[in-house]
Amino acid sequence: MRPILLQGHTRSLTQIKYNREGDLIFSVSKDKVVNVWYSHNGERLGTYSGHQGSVWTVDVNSTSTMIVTGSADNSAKLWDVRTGRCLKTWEFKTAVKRVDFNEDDTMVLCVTEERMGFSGTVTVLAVNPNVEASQSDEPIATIVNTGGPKAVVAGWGNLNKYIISGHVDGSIIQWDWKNNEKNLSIKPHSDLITDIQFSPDRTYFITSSKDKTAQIFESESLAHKKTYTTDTPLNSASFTPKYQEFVIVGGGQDAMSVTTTSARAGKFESRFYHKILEEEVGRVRGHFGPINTIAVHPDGKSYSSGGEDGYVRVHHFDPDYFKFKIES
Amino acid sequence: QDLAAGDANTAQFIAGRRKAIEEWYGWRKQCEKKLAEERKALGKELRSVDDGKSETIE
Repeated sequence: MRPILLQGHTRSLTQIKYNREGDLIFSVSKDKVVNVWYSHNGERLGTYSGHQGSVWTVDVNSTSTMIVTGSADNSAKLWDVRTGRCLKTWEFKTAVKRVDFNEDDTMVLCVTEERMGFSGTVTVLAVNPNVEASQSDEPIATIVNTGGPKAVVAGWGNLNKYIISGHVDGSIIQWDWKNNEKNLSIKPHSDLITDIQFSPDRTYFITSSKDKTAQIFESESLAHKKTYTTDTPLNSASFTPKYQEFVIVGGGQDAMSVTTTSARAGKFESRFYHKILEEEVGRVRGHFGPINTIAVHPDGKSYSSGGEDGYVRVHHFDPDYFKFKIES
Repeated sequence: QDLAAGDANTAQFIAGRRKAIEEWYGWRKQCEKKLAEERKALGKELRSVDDGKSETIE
């Protein structure tokens, strides 16, 4: 089936998220706009206006009543999904690069940038799930990787037991977030970690890196499980939750490096790997620039990619996809 | 002879795949069991994704 193009952003996409049911897609971009779309037809449902800088990150709670966004304007904002009203603005000293709701929607973590005299943090904020309630200003916890490389992505482990962060140097840390203490630390990637996405039950996760690999780890032990090796720097990696045991990765040389090579060599394709066997099984073309973000519909029948080219492409899988079987 | 060697290699390759798949599902089963126990101990219910609240907008 032809992909649906979501047209509405004027600059590169930074993150896409489906809600729990998968009927909605939330997209954020460097154009400062937050959009919500119907996933089945690509119709735009609404816009959340208020950020004064590039929006780096978005997450939606499990009941699809609230989203949280993080921006280069040094704030995170909480929004009422239905009305588009901004419910809360949390001010930080630096940009907010990553946000993530915990599994019971009662907390959100914010990864903040390190800059001139301000250390990068993973800040945990309480969220009252009632859209009419007032929201607290004071963080519950602030994690600082003192003396170490800054965190660029992070997410909640299962049952809120720990927070797992990915760092600029390719390291991954599991935190006892209540006490700002490291439980475990590994350095599996040799370059910047660009994305972290968890399995539905949060017991394992996948990281993508500029080192051209994506890797799977167990949340509890940080034990390495799988590696997917590509020939291009990766910006995002995602799991297919049903029908096939795949991972989808995307990336491509950034615009600066592309000018020195041919456009063909940019490698702007979503690549599919067999999750267990680590073998590449297919590619999907389409973007005119690097793929910055990939998300899979929770029903496993479609996925979306957001590119440096400003487009979101929603792909519904063909019947062949569901029939695919690897010999074993 | 070459053909026989090829068959042997293929068989070995397929056996390797099968082993990887068995290991993965074995590990997943352990994880799911442990998580269910911890969830129960904490008294936390897991909301199912298809709890009838989703609706298709035409």
